[in-house]
Amino acid sequence: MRAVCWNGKKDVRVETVPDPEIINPRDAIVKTELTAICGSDLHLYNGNIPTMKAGDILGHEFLGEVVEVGRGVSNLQIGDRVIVPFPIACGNCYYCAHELFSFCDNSNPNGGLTETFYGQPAGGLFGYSHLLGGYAGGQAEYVRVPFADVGPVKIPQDISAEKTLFLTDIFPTGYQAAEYCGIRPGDTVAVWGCGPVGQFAIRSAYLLGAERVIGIDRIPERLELARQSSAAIPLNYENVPIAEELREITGGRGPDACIDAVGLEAHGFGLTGWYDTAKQKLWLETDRPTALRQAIYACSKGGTVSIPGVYGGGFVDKFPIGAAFAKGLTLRMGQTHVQKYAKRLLSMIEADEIDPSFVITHRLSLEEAPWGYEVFNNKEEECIKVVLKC
Amino acid sequence: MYQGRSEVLRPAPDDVRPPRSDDVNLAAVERGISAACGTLLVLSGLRRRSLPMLIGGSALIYRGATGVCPVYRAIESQAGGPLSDGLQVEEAITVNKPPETVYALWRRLENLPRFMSHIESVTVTVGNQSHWVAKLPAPLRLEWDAEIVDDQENKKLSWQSLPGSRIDHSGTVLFHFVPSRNSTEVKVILTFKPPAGSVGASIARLLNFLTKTQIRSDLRAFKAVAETGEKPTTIGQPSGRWPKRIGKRRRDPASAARQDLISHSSSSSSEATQWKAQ
Repeated sequence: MRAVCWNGKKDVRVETVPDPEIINPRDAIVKTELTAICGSDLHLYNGNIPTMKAGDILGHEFLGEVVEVGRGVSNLQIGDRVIVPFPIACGNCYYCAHELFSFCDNSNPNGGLTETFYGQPAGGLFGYSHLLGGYAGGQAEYVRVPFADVGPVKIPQDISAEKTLFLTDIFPTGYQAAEYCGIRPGDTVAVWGCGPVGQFAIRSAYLLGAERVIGIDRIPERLELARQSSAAIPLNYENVPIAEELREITGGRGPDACIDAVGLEAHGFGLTGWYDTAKQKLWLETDRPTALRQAIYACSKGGTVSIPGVYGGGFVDKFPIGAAFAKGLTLRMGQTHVQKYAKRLLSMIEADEIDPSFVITHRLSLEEAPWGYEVFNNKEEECIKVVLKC
Repeated sequence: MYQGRSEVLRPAPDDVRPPRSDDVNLAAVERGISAACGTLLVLSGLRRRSLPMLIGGSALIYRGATGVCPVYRAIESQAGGPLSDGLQVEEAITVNKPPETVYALWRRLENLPRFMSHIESVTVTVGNQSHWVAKLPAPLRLEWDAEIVDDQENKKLSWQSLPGSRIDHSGTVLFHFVPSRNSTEVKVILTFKPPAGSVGASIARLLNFLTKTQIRSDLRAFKAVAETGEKPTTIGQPSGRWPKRIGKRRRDPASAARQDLISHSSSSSSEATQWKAQ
């Protein structure tokens, strides 16, 4: 089959690789219909995530048809059309049993490594470094889906793939970020970053009852999309002082909730062997959590700062803990528990409450993936979201 | 490493005194080289006003002067300390199953090789006795007989190698119910000790392999199998790495389904029996 392989920094190639096979009883094989490049894939593209190996298959947003199931999978039939959530979750551990699917204790075969970095093992993800499982990803014609009896959600044949594909990641991620804000009617929410996740956070905040949502970015077309399709108030941080502007808009109170949909260029914190390298990199990156600092500074007293943006495992410099403490802020964050939201959000799509395809700007073939990465990474051609047809 | 976090990895209690952090662990030649290089580094550090060079040089001088290298010390204790001491490893994990289930999986000793990476096989011989084979590269071989010495249903399980075995091995597993999580805390204490004066190659190899990290990883595998029925893995999945087994192509879905039924019916029985609790 053809698959998008990572070969090093800014080097992705479409290669012919062996087809995946069922390995464990609860596996299924999905034939990809549509897949996408995620903003977090750019962290891999730029070589910022450790434990990638040349030849790793990328991708964690994919939709397709079940072509084979293991004997432990009874809820899926061959021919079913499914979306596959990006976190792999066993469904049996304490966290899965409590709908905290992305915290799965068991899905990451390299859990021991993450335990060293984070104090607890992190769950496995598709196509996202060996630290997070080393699973072959979804930018491929076929994908092996572990614990297929837990993750995949069936999609009716009559809904377009473009409408449902983002149930795998960015729509639930934006939705969870907004839900974490504990929005009450009349609230104002500010969202840093109007990339795909930011767009869905803005839309979800409105769906959850916010009165005003402010979108903050520097790229005109992203601000314009937020304004046009979700009625956000756009703020370009290159043109206006954000904190002052937000205070003014909110009558001096600051937004009730702030969402950091930017994240850090996620820096993994290396094995002991390259501890120093990582540290060095982090020193070079001290200015990166700008959005998070601004969000904490701007937020109202007693407000919530919700962080869907990826922070990989590094440390953040000059974290404004004083402001957070003084205002008694609540911080919510973490990978998305996609399995918890996918069905609920699918019914919203079916009821025409939202059409997630509004973020798509580039429709390419799988073979054109390297170009897709380049354009998305450089934010050329007003690129916001790239989907790849298989 | 013998201070602080490594308390869990220590020689069995009645062994020789464990090395202390101020014990000399460098030979005279290396001490000399270390001190000389350190001096050079400090001198050029002073000339170039480089703080890292000064610090590095000072560390080397200290190492040479005292004969103590903390790095070596750490490496030694990671490997379980001097081999003749044997070792004791304690690790714990929480399994999202009631104690009855977790105990039953351990009580059936044949299950152990499925998650204990240092064990090749355990065969129950007669009554409470069993035959154990360690997993070692050929031609090394290490086998022993053990018997269950304490068996408290759903609470505790202990085994001990029989007198005369080539290795003195004991294991204890404690099961503690956590009502708030409806889970079981599993605590495993393993000791391995070669009989006095005889550190054979196989025993040395086994003890080298048995680090705290390895046992922890084994317990994680146990938890995964106990909770999910399978061991998560990526071995056998495709990648763009060499050598690529190109040419393997998907069968058409219909025939895949038929094949699947056949292969599953044959393999499922063996796997199911392997994992049955007693």
